[in-house]
Amino acid sequence: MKNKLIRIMAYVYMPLLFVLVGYSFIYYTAAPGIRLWGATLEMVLSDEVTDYHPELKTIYNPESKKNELTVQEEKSTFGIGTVYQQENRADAVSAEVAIDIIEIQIPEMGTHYAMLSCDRINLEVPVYWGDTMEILNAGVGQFMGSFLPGFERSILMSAHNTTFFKPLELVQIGDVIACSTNYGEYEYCVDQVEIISAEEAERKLDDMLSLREEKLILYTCYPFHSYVGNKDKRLFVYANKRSGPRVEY
Amino acid sequence: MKIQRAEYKSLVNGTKKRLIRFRKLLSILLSFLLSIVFVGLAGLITLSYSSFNEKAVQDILLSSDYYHNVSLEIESDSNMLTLPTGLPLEVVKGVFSEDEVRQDVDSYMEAAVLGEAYQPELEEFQNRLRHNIGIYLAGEEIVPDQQQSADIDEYIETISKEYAEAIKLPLLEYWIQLIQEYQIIHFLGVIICVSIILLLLILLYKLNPWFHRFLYYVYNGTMAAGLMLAILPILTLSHGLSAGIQVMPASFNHFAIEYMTRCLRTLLGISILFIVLSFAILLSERIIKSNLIKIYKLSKG
Repeated sequence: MKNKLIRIMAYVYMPLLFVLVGYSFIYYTAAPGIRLWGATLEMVLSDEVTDYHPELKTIYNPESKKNELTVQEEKSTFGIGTVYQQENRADAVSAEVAIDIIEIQIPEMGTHYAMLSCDRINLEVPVYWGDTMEILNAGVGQFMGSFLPGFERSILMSAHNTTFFKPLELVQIGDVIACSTNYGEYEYCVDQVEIISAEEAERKLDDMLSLREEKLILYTCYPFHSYVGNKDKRLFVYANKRSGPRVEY
Repeated sequence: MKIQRAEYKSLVNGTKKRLIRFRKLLSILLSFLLSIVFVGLAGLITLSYSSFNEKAVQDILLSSDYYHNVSLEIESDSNMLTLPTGLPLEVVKGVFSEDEVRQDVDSYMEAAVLGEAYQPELEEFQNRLRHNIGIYLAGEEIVPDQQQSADIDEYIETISKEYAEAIKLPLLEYWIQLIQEYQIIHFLGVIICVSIILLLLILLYKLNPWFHRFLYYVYNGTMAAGLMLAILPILTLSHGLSAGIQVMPASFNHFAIEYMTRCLRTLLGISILFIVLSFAILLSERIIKSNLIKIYKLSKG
């Protein structure tokens, strides 16, 4: 009986033994070729599925807790800093509010995190973190080397002058541009508008980013209207911070 | 005398046993080599019928929706180029069609296989684009000046170049080079593999006078080959190639996934053939063996 079992099992373990030895044989014989092909394949293999058309996300919530700031009597709910009593938004200019950076949800690339508006020129546009082609098709893109509102550094935003930044054609010095985020309402007052060449804009980029004060910088192609052709000039709008919470980091 | 005969008999029996054992070991080794050569032959057949086959690649272009995906990419790229110029996106609508993309991609591939260069007919697209731009400018009552006309020409030229680049199948030149080098390998490889298989079968037949024993070793070889060929495709296809391959652009990525899936399926198909063949051989071996046992029992009475 035992011998019979061994004979029957031979039909199973012999091929399996061949498979084991065969793979070892092929591996050691073809090892240099396998390593070369493996190194080549590693360049095109990844652990996760590639998303070639990532959808733009949104974290902006107009009903977020920043609205509690407008009716505060004593303590801030945001943690450190001192909150002065403020009964309406008009008093926000004199209020100094600080928010801890851990209270803020830092946006990822391609995320809608704020709204930019200016009533006088009828501007109301979504702001995305990043400035890829897809983002500029969907709204205003923020240069990721700049800072978020409240960080007391420069905020660099751009959009197409045929779509979202078309209203900038009418912007004037003194206009107030509002930037609404989940963690605070910010206002900026335009103090300079200039038109420079694209090359000069490239050269000035470093200077703009190294500013040690909070400045909202909007830029777009120039000229406006139904101009057809390459636009080799850029319109820059500089606005100083007027109000909004400071972010502690 | 009796003792000498007994010693002689045991010597002869011992030699016989050693000879039988040697034959068994040699048969096992030859069976193993047979499985390796079967694997090699299967690999050559897979490469020939799926990886380096122009007809198979054209089927994969269709099944992976390559033409449609390329059309979408051309449209998207054209929109990206159009937006900053101030022209509306409608000027690009209707300029390129999927059928034209298919014709140009196929023509490009055929020309590359023949070692020729292919340049798509861009004049037709440029005329359509110029016509659409003209309609828009007339509607807006814009008369472009010299600089604007030059900018429009440059824009049309850029869109045309984007199209000419988009219809080129990535890595095609390398693929064609591989085919040319592979053809010699395939020819020699198949001849060598078939010759070795025949030689191994002849040797196995000579080593095993009983036909069912010969079939047993052939079964081991074919079953092992089938299992060796099946493991890689099963593991890869069950994991899913879409979660692994990452190449640009997206249209080529879909094509690459479909291409590799097709190759692995061909390999799996060949492995199934080997497994089915091995079961057929096993069945034959059992039938022959049982018939022999019946004959032996009948002869014994």
